[in-house]
Amino acid sequence: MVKIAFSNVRITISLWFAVLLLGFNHLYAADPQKGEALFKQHCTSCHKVDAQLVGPALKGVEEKYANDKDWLYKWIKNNQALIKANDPKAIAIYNQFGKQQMNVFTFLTDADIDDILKYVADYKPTVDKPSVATSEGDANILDDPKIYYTLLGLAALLLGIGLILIFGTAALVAAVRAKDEQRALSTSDVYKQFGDFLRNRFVAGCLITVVLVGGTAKLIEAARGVSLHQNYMPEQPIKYSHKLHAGTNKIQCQYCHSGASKSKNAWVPSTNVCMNCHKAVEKGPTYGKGEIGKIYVSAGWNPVDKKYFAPGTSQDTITAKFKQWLDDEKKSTELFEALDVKNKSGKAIEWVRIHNLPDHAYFNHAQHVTVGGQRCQTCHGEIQNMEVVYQHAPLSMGWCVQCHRDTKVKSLGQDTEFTVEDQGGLDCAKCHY
Amino acid sequence: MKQPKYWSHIDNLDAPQQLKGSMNNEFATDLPLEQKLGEATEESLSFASNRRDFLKLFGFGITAATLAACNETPLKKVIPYVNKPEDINPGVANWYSSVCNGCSAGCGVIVKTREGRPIKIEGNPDAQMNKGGVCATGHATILNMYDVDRLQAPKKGNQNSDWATVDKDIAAQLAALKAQGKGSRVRLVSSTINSPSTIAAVNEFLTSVGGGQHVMYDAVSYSAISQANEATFGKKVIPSYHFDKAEVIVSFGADFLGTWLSPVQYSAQYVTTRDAKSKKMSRHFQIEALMSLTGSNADVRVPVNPSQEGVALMNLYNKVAAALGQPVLSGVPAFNLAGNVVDKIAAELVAAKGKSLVVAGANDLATQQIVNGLNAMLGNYGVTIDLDNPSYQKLGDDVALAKLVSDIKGGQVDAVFFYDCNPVYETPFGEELKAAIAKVGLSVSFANKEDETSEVCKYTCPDSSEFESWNDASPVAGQYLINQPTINTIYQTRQAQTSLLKWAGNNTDYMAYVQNNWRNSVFKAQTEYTSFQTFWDEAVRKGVVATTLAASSTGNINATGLQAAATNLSGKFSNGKMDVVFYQKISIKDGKHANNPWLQEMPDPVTRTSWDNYVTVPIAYAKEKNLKLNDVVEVTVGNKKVKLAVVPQPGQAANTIGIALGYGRTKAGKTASKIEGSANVYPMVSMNGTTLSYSATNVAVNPTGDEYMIAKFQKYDLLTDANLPEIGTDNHFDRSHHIIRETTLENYVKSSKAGNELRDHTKKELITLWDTHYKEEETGRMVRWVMAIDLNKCTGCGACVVSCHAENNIPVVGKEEIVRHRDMHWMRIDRYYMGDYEKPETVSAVYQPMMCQHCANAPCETVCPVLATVHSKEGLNMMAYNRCVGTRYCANNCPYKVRRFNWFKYHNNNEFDFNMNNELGKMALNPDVTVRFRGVMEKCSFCVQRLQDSKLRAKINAGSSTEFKSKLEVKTACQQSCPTGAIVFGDLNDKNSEVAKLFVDDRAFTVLEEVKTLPSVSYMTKVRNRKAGEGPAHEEHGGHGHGAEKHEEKAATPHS
Repeated sequence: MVKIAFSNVRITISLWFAVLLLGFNHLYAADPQKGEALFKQHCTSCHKVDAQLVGPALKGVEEKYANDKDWLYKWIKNNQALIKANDPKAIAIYNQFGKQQMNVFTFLTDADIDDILKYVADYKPTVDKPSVATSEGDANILDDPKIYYTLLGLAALLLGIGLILIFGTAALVAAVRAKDEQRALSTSDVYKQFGDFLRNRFVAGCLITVVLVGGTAKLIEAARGVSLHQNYMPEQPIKYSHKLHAGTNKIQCQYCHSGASKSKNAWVPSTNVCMNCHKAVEKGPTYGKGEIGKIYVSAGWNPVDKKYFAPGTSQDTITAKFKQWLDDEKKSTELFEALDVKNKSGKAIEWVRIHNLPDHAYFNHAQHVTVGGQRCQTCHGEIQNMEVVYQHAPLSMGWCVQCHRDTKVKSLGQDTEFTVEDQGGLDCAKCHY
Repeated sequence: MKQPKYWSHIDNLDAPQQLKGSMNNEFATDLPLEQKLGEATEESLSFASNRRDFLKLFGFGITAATLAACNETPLKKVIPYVNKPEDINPGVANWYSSVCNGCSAGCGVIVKTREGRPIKIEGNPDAQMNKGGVCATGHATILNMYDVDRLQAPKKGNQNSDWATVDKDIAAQLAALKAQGKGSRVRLVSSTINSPSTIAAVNEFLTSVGGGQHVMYDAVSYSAISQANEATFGKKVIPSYHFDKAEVIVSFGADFLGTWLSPVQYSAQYVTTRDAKSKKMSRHFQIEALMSLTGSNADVRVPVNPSQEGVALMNLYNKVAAALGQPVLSGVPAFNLAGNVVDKIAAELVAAKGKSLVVAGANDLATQQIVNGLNAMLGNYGVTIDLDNPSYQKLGDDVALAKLVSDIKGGQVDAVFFYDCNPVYETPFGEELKAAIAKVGLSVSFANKEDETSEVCKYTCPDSSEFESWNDASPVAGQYLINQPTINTIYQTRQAQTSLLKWAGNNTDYMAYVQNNWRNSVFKAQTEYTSFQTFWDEAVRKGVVATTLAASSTGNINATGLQAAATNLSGKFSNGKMDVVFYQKISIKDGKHANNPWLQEMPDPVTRTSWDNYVTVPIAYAKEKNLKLNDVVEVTVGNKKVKLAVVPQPGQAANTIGIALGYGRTKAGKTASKIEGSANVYPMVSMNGTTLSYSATNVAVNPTGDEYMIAKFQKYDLLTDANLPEIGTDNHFDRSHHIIRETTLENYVKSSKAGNELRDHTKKELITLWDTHYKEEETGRMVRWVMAIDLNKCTGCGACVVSCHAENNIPVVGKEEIVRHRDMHWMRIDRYYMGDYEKPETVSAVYQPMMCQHCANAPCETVCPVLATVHSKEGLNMMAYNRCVGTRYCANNCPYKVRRFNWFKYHNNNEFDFNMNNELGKMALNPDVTVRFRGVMEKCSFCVQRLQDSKLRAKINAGSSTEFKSKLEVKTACQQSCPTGAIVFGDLNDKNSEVAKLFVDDRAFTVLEEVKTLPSVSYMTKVRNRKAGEGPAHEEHGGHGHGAEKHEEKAATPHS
């Protein structure tokens, strides 16, 4: 009996395993979060869910091919193979979208594609909300303008009290002198007494010391600040908002500044990087088409026909297209003037450099970002909250050195007990050669 | 008088007291400030001032400071690409493989580009020929591209023109010639072209014009070798030599480590036989007239007058023949060299039969025939000499050149094109050609800078630089290299091949032309790839393709010509007449790159002079005629005269003078025009039968009484000092062997510490007051950078010097500053002679690369008042330029004299009008290295920018922190460029690293270790394969071991 019971247990367990193994595919549920990540990584440069970009809008794609899912997998993984094999459906799509080849994604598994499709199916357009400061950690109290009004009020109050006290004292002194039948104090008396006070050697000595010491300290401070440009906030050729891009839209810093992980320079993105998104995003929330138009002028993009101008397109055609595109904007003439199509067409955007290190100081972004694992904000401040970027840190040597003294080295993501200084991070030749 | 074992200059020996006096002065010369201020000196330099002066200065100071403070920081732009090319990453270097075009040796190189501009050349490690090395000339070619003297557009006559006009004109004239049936009267003249595609383009062009001729010649010709091979073997080729397979190398005046044929290739081969560690080394005999780089490295060097060289060679032949039972040459005057060396060489050659190599430098048919005979007799063909897989590095034909000259002069030529050659300057027929070319109907030069030939041509169609061009090369059989462009054309230039094809009516893009050519040739000759595109991509990436070699046969000699050659050569034997040898300097070589400031400033390794050519004279002769350095003499050869300054040269054969070719350019650009005291001696080269002869006899040398200052390096060291107490030797006055250590193979085999016995002793004796920078618990986990230099492998070629120049933005300071001892080279190669300078046969030299030694107890660090130079945890002696206030205490306290002071701002300064004074030249600067300003000290940094970069790459690539060190790949610029691998660099804390092993080798010593500076650079004792009785007379057996032993006894006394 016992034996039978055991064998039943065994059979039951085996059966369960079999079910688990066989049914794994069926049990697997598509994960929209994974799908979102994959979508953002691989698809966003050509597809949007609810609008046409380079490729078609993806909303409803799953229903469309519900009966033909295997074909959809094939298409997504390697559309070019299908086209080569003269698959009629594939050819039709290829022709419909201007014979633009879709990239191949042979590395995606069917499960990955399910994830992506799930994300597409679940996608709900986000409503643009006014951005909220997303600063992490303590917000700096001094950044809040209210504090200055409070301080100003306090100062006015103290001044008032001071004046009352002075007048009160003057009145009392006058009263006492009147009682002693002395003549009232004239202004010259006050001056004389004050003069005597100053002529006192001790007082004079003190004053001179204070002025000398204070002056020298001030001088040193000023000298140290020479050629430091903290809070430098120049006007840029495009009113680009990091707050909108990095803050509200949460675009990764290194999507645009891709050099930060591999080069000494973080790189200002080339216009073609802007175009990855701005082929689709034509209008900004604050400046409308005016600022984004500058990118199009630089990139040589025809915003009306949604394609690049062919090389050698006449200036007149380009001008006409931009005028036409701006027609529905307010003050379109002014906006068009600002684009300066004639001079800037196809030319690089000349940004103004904010963070300038002197030539004799070597700084490498990759060392700090990839190896050291530093956040961009450590040196650049809360960029995601800056409408216009300014130099957050002083970028002085003292500032660099302090961080090298304090920071514990992260070695490939793992914390160590050593500070940068312990690793020779204060050696001159780390930055000067 | 006693003399130190090693000496750098005869002043060291002849006038030590005087030199010592000058050593006490802080400055080698008077401060030029005083000269410049002239008469006002006294007033201006006096410090007496009054109240008004004070107020004036005070007022000026305040105003200046205020104005300076008001100065707004300039607005800096940051301009990204519109479309960033995928493979250009700002801030990250890209490397492209290519071919070196410094000479026709065709070394494979890799070109470093930053932000799309080439900035540095390194050897391609995949190239079998040069194995990662490049010579000084190769390194400097980068500046040829960034030369402001380059033509910016084609020229018609003296007028700037454009391509459309020039193309139309030339095409029309060629068509007219063809129509008249005069197509065969077209000549294309060039130096050696070993690019198969260029040859194809040239042939296509010549066919299209109706059958013109292609004439190749070399400025310094090797034509006799191929002519001799034609005579003896029926193969008109220059063979491939394999110095690596030779156990005995005998060179008659062939400077194969410096200038002969393919020096980088031969240097790499040569050092493989010079590894002391294996306790087996080749024997190298050099019989030569002048002191060449190769000769100074030889085990046994015998000076011989050039007119006796041939007879010495024949005597050797006869002795070898006698030993082998072969027929001897008759009618040869009996002659032997000092110490009966000929007998010794003959015996050793016979002993190493089939594994020896005899080469001769003379471009003389008879000499080369005898050499062939000798090699054939010794069975060297098929082993060390390969006639079946020849070298295409020098294809010039002297006969063809002579024919061309007579054709042009005789009006037989109606159109002439000059590609990569400058015959008006670099042939003996310059003057005649100059007049004759002017009369030719159509003359076109492809020169990309105006030169002596383009000056007389009707059209100049500037060729693009090799860095802007596609091309290929096949320098030796079975090796194919691709030259790919690394930058777009800077000016309106067009590569000559494209021009030729265009005029031939073929509008193919030249890259496609090369590709097609390869599709039909190299691709078919290999079996590895089946798809041409894959093959091509890989070939371009790697830069070099090797195909199967033909079987190498032993030479079947045609001995009939030998006796005739011998008779001919015997007739030239002369005794007692003054001879001249025209040689090439390592830096300038044939003069093609005369406008290159790096090369002009690079000192010649042997004479240690830069910027000029001069007459080298034997010391004995100089003494006899009372000639001193800088005395100008007039040299008369035939009816030609030149006036040049004299440089007395130890080791030079009696009755011989030497003058370098490649100087005296009249139209080469602004740098070349700065060289005033040099002269062109190409006109003195003579046509001797079918070959050009680079020596002449019966030369008159007459002093003129004038003086001309020669820029000489390395006069700062005093090697003798009676006041210095010496440890370990009874030679109290001699400290030279604390700098150089040397032994012989015999002694080294007996004891691996031979020659370096002092080291143990010094280590034991010395104490230090300083605390160490390196505590195991603090720095043990870090890297400790050190360098080891093998003196056995260093031939002194100077490639590292120019490489360092390029890597570290070192300014060129010009001759005047060099004369004032203000050279800026961070790295120099010190040359120390040994032997008795009055007996040339005893003189040899040792080369020692010297740069900042990064001492652990650095004397410079302790004296810096502002801590501008301090020590890093990784063992570097760091130099913070912006902290330096220019006291120069550090330089004065440096025992190695490796610190360099910026006396002036060398960039953007018209006084130093070199590459750093114009926008184009500055494109060659390395963006990772600061350009130093006036008033700061600078020195070798161990290429810290490379160290930092390599650490970063290692950290990024490493999976874990323990893996970091294994991923660390670093090479300093000097190390990377070294053709012989003499420099090893790395981490001392990594006990498995090559450098750490070398540091504990028994041959390792540090320079001046007696002062306990604890340098981070170790040198390996030089081992020469000398036998007893060879070399300097007083080099006693056991080297200085004897002295050391003696001292041990003495030293033992106070301890006991």
